[in-house]
Amino acid sequence: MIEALGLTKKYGSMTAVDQISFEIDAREVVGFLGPNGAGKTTTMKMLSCFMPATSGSAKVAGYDVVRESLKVRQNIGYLPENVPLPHEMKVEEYLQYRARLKGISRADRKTRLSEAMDRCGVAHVRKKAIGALSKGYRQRVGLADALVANPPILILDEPTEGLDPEQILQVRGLIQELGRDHTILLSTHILPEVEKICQRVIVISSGTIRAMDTLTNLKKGSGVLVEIQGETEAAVAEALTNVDGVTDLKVVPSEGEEGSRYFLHTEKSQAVREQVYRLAVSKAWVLLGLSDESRRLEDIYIEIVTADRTLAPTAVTDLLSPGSEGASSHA
Amino acid sequence: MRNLWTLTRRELGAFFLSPLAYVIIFLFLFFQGYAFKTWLHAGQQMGGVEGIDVGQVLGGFLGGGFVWWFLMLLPPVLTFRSLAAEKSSGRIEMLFTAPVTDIEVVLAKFLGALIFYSILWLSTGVYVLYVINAGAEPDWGVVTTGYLGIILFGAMLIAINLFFSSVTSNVVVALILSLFFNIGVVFAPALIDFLTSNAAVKNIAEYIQVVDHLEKDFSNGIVDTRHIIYYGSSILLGLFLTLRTVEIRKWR
Ligand SMILES: Nc1ncnc2c1ncn2[C@@H]1O[C@H](COP(=O)(O)OP(=O)(O)OP(=O)(O)O)[C@@H](O)[C@H]1O
Ligand SMILES: [Mg+2]
Repeated sequence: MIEALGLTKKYGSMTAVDQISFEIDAREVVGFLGPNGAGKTTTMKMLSCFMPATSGSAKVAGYDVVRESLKVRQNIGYLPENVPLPHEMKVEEYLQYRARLKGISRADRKTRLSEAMDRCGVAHVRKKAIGALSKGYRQRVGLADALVANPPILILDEPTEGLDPEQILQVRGLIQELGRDHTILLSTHILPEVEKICQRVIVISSGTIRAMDTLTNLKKGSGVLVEIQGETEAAVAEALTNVDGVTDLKVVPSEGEEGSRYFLHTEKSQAVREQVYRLAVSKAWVLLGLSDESRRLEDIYIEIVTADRTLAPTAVTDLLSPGSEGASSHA
Repeated sequence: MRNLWTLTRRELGAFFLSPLAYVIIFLFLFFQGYAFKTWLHAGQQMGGVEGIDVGQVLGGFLGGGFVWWFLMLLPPVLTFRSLAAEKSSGRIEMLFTAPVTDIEVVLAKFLGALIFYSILWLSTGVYVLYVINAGAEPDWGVVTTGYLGIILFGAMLIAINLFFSSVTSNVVVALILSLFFNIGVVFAPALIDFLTSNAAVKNIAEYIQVVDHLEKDFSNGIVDTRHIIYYGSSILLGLFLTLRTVEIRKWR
């Protein structure tokens, strides 16, 4: 549904987006991650036909963003980063105007409008001037605008930015729900959000793609580390491999005279640790260590963007921003 | 052109939602009413309203008073925000990511300002009705061409001022460029005439002499095709340049 090929954007001599290529299938929800200034917004502006690429091309809904831009725009709902809205207009008036622009027939307009307003929680402020709304409510109006024509593709630039915690959960729920029959590309700095709603992530930094994979694949290194003293490694390894939920086992070269260490690959860390404990008790193993080594998206993200530390010095501070929920406790 | 009306309506709505529109309406009606009163008073001293040629109502307006100021100043205040404010507020992003064409947007900006401008001027029609009601004989030809001239002239300046609004994202810059241009257009020919004795230059100056086009012909019931072409081509040029500037966004 979305296809970028060597997409490049230069602002003067500064390259904001450098030869990025990716594909997003129908009904996929993809998270677009990267430190501040990575080029996420720039990429989204090119995909939504606001700005032309310096070179490379992109297709959205099967149409070229430059040559068939009108068709593309008929098929997308775009939420820009700062949600610029006319302050003097009333919420309902504005959404009505947008629905008309997006070609919703008079007969459908009323239902589409109230559905979009209900979904985004702005129905009760429909008679208010947009300028009199708080930032979060304006964000919701922007979201309602993106949804009003029920386009198959949604391009959302930081959709939960500025919302209160309850509303963040609601919008996340909404995006998850929309994800069932929409193709969604969303940028965000909130990593737990990505884990909740995205199937796949694209990480960019300094304008180039650093990682692009499904969440499951990215978190492959997750597992449980077990340390056992005084048993034959082969026997322990065999017993541990048979534990429910363990997909693979590796004997970790031990350092010094302590026990042998085994790394169990699994995604169900808690259940596996429980079983390993019971197993150790029943076999009377001397269990020196049993730790959760599941890889969190935060760690993976940091690893990816710090790989080019010299190029992107802002990555860590970016993650520590208040919006990034709990990332700070770990970093 | 599916969206032209939707966009134009939005433009008009935006005018009426801004306090500026009401300040303009107030000032316009106040000064035009004052001009009418002055003119009527002079007419009465020459033998009463019945003897007044109604065509002169507009002729009187155009000949003096505040008319030129309004002709010069209305287009800038109606257009300076049109595109510049869309850019500075970032709303242009919302506008052009909706399925609308550039030409629809430019035409809607133009029509919105022109409709507002025309409504203002046509509202002075009540003065004409007043004089007719008082017993004067109207010369409908003069009344019609008078308004036609004013609207064409305004359309020309609106189109060109819209271009100034499209080249910048600073509304103050757009306003100043438009004001300078309009004042220049109105006063330059007279200045050129004053400064040179070269016949060829004088001829050109006379052709672009917008004041004369309006004052001598339109307000006397004469519609010269030369003038229609003059205004028409200026409108097209203004709109074309605006469209091109809006399109530049696509090539940067
Ligand atoms: N209009 C512009 N003119 C010049 N440079 C720009 C412009 N817009 C963005 N840039 C630059 O392009 C780079 C990418 O910016 P972009 O807004 O795409 O980043 P982002 O990934 O969206 O960041 P954030 O997480 O802060 O939103 C930045 O270095 C920025 O300074
Ligand atoms: Mg951004």
